[in-house]
Amino acid sequence: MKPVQAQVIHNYTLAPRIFRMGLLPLEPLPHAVAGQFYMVRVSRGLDPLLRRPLSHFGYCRAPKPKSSRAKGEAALEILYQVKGRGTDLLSRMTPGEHTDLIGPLGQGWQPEPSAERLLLLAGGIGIVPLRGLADQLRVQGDKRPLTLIWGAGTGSEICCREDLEALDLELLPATEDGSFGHPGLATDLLEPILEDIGKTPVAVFACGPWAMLKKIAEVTSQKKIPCQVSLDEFMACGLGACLSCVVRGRARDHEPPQNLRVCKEGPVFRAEEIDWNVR
Amino acid sequence: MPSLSPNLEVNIAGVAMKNPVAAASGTCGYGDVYAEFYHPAELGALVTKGISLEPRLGNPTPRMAETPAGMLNSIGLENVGLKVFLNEKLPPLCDSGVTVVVNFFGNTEDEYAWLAETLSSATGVAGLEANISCPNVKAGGIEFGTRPEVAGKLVERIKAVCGKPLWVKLSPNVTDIAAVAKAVEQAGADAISAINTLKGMAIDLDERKPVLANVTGGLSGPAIKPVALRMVYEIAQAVKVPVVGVGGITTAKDALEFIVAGASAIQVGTASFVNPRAPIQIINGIKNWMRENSLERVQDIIGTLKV
Ligand SMILES: Cc1cc2nc3c(=O)[nH]c(=O)nc-3n(C[C@H](O)[C@H](O)[C@H](O)COP(=O)(O)OP(=O)(O)OC[C@H]3O[C@@H](n4cnc5c(N)ncnc54)[C@H](O)[C@@H]3O)c2cc1C
Ligand SMILES: Cc1cc2nc3c(=O)[nH]c(=O)nc-3n(C[C@H](O)[C@H](O)[C@H](O)COP(=O)(O)O)c2cc1C
Ligand code: FES
Repeated sequence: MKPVQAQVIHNYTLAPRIFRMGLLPLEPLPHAVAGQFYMVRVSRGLDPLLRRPLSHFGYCRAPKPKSSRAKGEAALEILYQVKGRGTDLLSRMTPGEHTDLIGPLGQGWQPEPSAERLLLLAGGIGIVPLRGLADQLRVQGDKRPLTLIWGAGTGSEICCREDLEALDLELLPATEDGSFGHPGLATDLLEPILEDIGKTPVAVFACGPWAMLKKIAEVTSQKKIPCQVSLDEFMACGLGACLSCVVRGRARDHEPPQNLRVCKEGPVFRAEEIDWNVR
Repeated sequence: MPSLSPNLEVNIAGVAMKNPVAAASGTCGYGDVYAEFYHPAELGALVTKGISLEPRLGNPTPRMAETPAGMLNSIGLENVGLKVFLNEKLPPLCDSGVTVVVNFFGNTEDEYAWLAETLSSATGVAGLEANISCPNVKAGGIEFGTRPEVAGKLVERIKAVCGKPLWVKLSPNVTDIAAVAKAVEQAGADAISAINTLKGMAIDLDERKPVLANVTGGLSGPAIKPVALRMVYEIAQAVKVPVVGVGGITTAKDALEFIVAGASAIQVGTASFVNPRAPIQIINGIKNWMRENSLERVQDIIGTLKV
């Protein structure tokens, strides 16, 4: 593995401060499992210094050369929200420019073959690895019904709806300002929908703020529903070297508690692996 | 005629290195983390994550904050502890063929001594690096490394039981680093590594809160290079034992500047987070620079600064 140069093929805004970027790696990268992430450079110089962790959103085709009949080359996509300096610099990149990235990194979502229905819960930009999952399942020909509960601050943040529709999933939006879908939190919808689903074996996949994931972990653990979560921690290396990104693992019987590196053992964990009370 | 392949070998007080570039403590795990990027044996040496008597989970998160051209960390010396290190981490590291230097620290002089004795008798360990930037629990938590007498006394104690070359890694958070360097040299340190991270802080203005859960942390990366370079220069002027330079080294040019300033070897830390192959690129860059300048032995350029 090594840092690989990638060419920006598109970078456009989908919603206020949310950008979708296509990157064509100049050398082949391993195929990503949904839930994995890349460490992306946002500058060429020494400042800002560190790479930014960004999830795999999906694959796309680079525009094909005019002369050729072949399909365009396989490119990857990321979707990001402008937060600070690094993502702001990313948002200013134009097609043809280069950046470099390392990845795909970490552990992605597990398949959950025994579930007959899949329930995806996203909080804000936490949609990225979940759209990645839905896309991967459909590409693999998985026809199980998918329900996506997506909570956001306001309706305009619930973006890329056509993309989601194309994945044949049921979208249940929730907004804190009530401008779109359920007025309130994504987690408000969890218990009612689980009631609705009844006895059909279901599995839950979630990515969002800690408090949301903690709540989902509680509900699914009570109901003994398999639940995977994708966690977010500040990262310096993304490679397991610096120990910046740890969360506390749930202590097993008679064993001392251990830290888990979100970049290496995660970012996707089984909810029961995490000690949700340490933060 | 200069040879096509310059000789990069250095010997740091009995630790033989095939080139002067080591991976710095706390930035390369136990040698397992960059295996996909290069073979550890390509390094001159690998300095392990700091080892303590008992396992440590470190500080709460956030324990990393990016700062201009650098980063703060308050990892809090998380490590697997002596037992797991010896049983699980050290054997594969030694098998990889890299020269292993084990970084260690304690809360008391007794702990340092016990660790030094045990680690230096483990097979495969080429040398030890004592991190003395740790709070002395018995002296109210003041770092061992901040007062020359205290640092000297600690090193004397370690040296008495340490069966391998002892590098002592200094804290930069002092007024006169040369005085600390002289004290640890007198106490028997075989080499001096400098510098550890500089104490710093970052604030989230909107929240009016410190970014790090621990409030303060250690600054590393390119931002600290000029300070590290100055300190390495001052130490090299003050002592006769070899100096290992560390702090903000990102390129071969940075590394060569430290060597010219008096470092016999260097360590690469934060740069590996951004570019995991940085140490290898630095080794190659040193080789190229020597060829371009018709130099045969890296040893011949140590401390050749013209002031
Ligand atoms: C595994 C993983 C996957 C992610 N995937 C996505 C994604 O697909 N889309 C997206 O928009 N965001 C994603 N994030 C969050 C994203 O990494 C941060 O929003 C981004 O790093 C902020 O950088 P900045 O320079 O804009 O902000 P600044 O605040 O200026 O960044 C300063 C430093 O803090 C770090 N940082 C700040 N906020 C976060 C955060 N929430 N998580 C981790 N590090 C942070 C930065 O990496 C940088 O080192 C992901 C985070 C993780 C850990
Ligand atoms: C995340 C991190 C962890 C570190 N852990 C240790 C440690 O356990 N023991 C130690 O002596 N130094 C530790 N250091 C300090 C480095 O070894 C090095 O002295 C310092 O970072 C300056 O070099 P750099 O700018 O090249 O990173 C750590 C540094 C970082 C960034
Ligand atoms: S980000 Fe460095 S260990 Fe996870």
